[in-house]
Amino acid sequence: MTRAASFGVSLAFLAAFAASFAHLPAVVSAQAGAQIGLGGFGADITLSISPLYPSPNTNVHMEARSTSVDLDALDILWYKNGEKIGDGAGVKEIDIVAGALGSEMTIEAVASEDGFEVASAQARIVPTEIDLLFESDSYVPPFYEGRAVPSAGTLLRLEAIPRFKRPNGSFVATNDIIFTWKRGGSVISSASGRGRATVSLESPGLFGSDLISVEARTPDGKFSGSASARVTPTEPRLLLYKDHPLFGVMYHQALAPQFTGLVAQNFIPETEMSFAAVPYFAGAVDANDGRLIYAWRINGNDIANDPSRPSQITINAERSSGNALIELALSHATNFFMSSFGRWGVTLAGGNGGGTSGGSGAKDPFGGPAQ
Amino acid sequence: MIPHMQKTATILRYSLIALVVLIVIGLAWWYFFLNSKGETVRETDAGRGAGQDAPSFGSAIGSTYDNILSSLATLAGNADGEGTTTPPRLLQVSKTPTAGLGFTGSGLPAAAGATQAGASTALRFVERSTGYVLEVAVHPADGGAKSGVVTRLTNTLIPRVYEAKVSRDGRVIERFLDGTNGAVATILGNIPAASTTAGDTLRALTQTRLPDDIRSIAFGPDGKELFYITSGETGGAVGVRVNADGAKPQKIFSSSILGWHAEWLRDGRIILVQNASDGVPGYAYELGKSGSLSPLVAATQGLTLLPRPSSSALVFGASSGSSLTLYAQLDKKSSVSELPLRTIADKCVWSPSEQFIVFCAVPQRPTPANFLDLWHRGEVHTADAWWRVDMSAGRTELLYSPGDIMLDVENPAIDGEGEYIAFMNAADKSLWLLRINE
Repeated sequence: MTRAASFGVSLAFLAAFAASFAHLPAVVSAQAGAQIGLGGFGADITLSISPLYPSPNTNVHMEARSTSVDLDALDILWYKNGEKIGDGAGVKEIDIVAGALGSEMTIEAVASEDGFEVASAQARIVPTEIDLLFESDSYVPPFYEGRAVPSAGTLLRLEAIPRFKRPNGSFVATNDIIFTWKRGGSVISSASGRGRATVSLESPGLFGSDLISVEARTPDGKFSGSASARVTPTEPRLLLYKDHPLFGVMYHQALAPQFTGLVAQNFIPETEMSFAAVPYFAGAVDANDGRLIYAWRINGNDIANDPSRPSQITINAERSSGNALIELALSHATNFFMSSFGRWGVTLAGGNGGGTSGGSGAKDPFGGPAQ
Repeated sequence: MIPHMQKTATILRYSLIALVVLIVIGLAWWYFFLNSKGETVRETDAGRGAGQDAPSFGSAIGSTYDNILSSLATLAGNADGEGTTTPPRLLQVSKTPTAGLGFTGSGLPAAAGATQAGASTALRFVERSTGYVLEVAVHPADGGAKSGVVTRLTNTLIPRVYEAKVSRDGRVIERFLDGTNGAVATILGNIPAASTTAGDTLRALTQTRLPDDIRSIAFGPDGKELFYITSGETGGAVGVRVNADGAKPQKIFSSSILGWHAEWLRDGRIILVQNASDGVPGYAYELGKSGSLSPLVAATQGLTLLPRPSSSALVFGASSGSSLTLYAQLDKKSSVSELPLRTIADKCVWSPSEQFIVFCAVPQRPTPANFLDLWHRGEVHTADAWWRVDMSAGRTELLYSPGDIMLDVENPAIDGEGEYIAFMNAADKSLWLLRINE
């Protein structure tokens, strides 16, 4: 049995109205839009859809509701694109599968009594997809293959990639889509607007976690969708690498950290070696950013920084035992939340004394007498 | 004799004896003193290189390799198999750190006739310390892999090459930090054909400098084009398709996200994967010619991806917390299935000769939480064994276990015949070659 879907008037603004009050899942990668309409004037029946923005080929749960008629006492007939897909007394809910991207599906619920229509409602389901990508402008070293993740005080870059596909196969251009960005449910009006698919926001504070969401719709309301991501900042991670004269900074071999009471974890068969500290995810443009404050100590002795390369230090163990406990405290000139500390035990092929470059040179950093 | 004269003679005799003894002791002391000083001088001279033979430039790979090797006891370690159970299937091609690798030769159809290697397949790689391009023939017909003979091809010194790529027609990309401004520099290198008359096979690398601060770069299928992602003038990333000589750059992609990994498959598809982090959703796309993005994998935490050329099949990995999961999808319409291997897609290669066969290096011990991040930062290394997965048959079997050799596989590549897998050991960047069949 088929039924011509002739009387349903699509009211696009209802979709937006419903969307504004919808509860978004905690983490949703992509959702799709649905347009909800009423059966006619005087009718009091509405359709709720979950999820509000179905993804292509996903399950959709629909429920008919009414405040004026007792739907439990009526026969409910469900139609998909005019074809009956379910009926029965008091059958107020139905599960369907959304169509593919670019498809459009009309779902209609008709409440009837003794064969006479009492009320009806239509919903138009147009699956859409939105990807929400993010990264941070935090520091990662050259050739790092991982993500720059946010830490307190850094900027968060987000980009929404919508796929609003028309039945003819074309996609709605990003510039023709209105984006509404939200942070924890609050609209960020300065970042929202037509074509505003990208946004830069401050990363959540230390120990914080923000739900960033974006809703997108076309001006005519035919397409809409939403996506969200929970962003949790990380603490900057301070690591130390050898800066080998032949191979460069050996990013593939982080020095093992030194734990209290243990022997040095890193043996280096050289009498002299440079080391490079890498402040992963710090708020800096490079490791020698002027905002980063490095405080080096070797075997308890403070070592002055090389002004041009404060993230690096060179140790010469030619006249020493070769055992060095390298300690490094890192802070930020403008970001008081940032503080990292590292300690590494290193054993070089030593001699009878020692020294550093980039340091004061007045004392033997390995604990020997002043020279 | 008068008694007092006898006494004087006795004293004189004993005095002479004592004097002789003192002289002997003095000479002995002098001998040992000089000897010890001479040893010190010899050690010092040896340290300065005095008395040693002049370096030989006559070997196939040059003296640099030997010089570096001699100073890298810890890097080389037991890599040559001494004291280990190195099976013959596994060959350590280079002990010194390698910047990148790739197979060249006619075993790869699109590269036919494009290399001087003729009908053979070769493994070409770039030395990290010097930027020299070296090669080893691997096709069984050539016997190269069995002999393990490494030949150096170039003599252009490019120090501290952090990353390199090799196209199937033998070109190389070398990436390093510019000494003047610290920017990431990228050069495209072409190796001229060797003279057929001259005995010297070393050639100068013909270089084309590409723009600085390229984030990710990939060779086109035939090596004659490049695609790279770099920072845009107004922030964000732009993707540029350009001829290998740097001509005709076309911006075909833009994004506010800078962290992308680009790959250009043999079938012409350009794949973009967002840089991964444990527990953070990542996306992968196919980049259309017009710059459109078609999703391949959406919102997967710690996403790593291995697409199969000339097919819509793909393997992808997810990493979050302590969980390391590998998935496969044979085509766009089929459902995603979980593979019984705990590894990342970056440690896998598709077989080019058998359909839906994938080889993966799998850590033999449980990996720590947030493994992907730790691995990217060089904080943790794995000891991998190679596994073979037949997806159509649903069978997973151990292909090769390296015994007590610790191999942390990265940048794996497979030759066009599907007979060899080359890879780098992430622990020391050494280069290895595994014959797939016993």
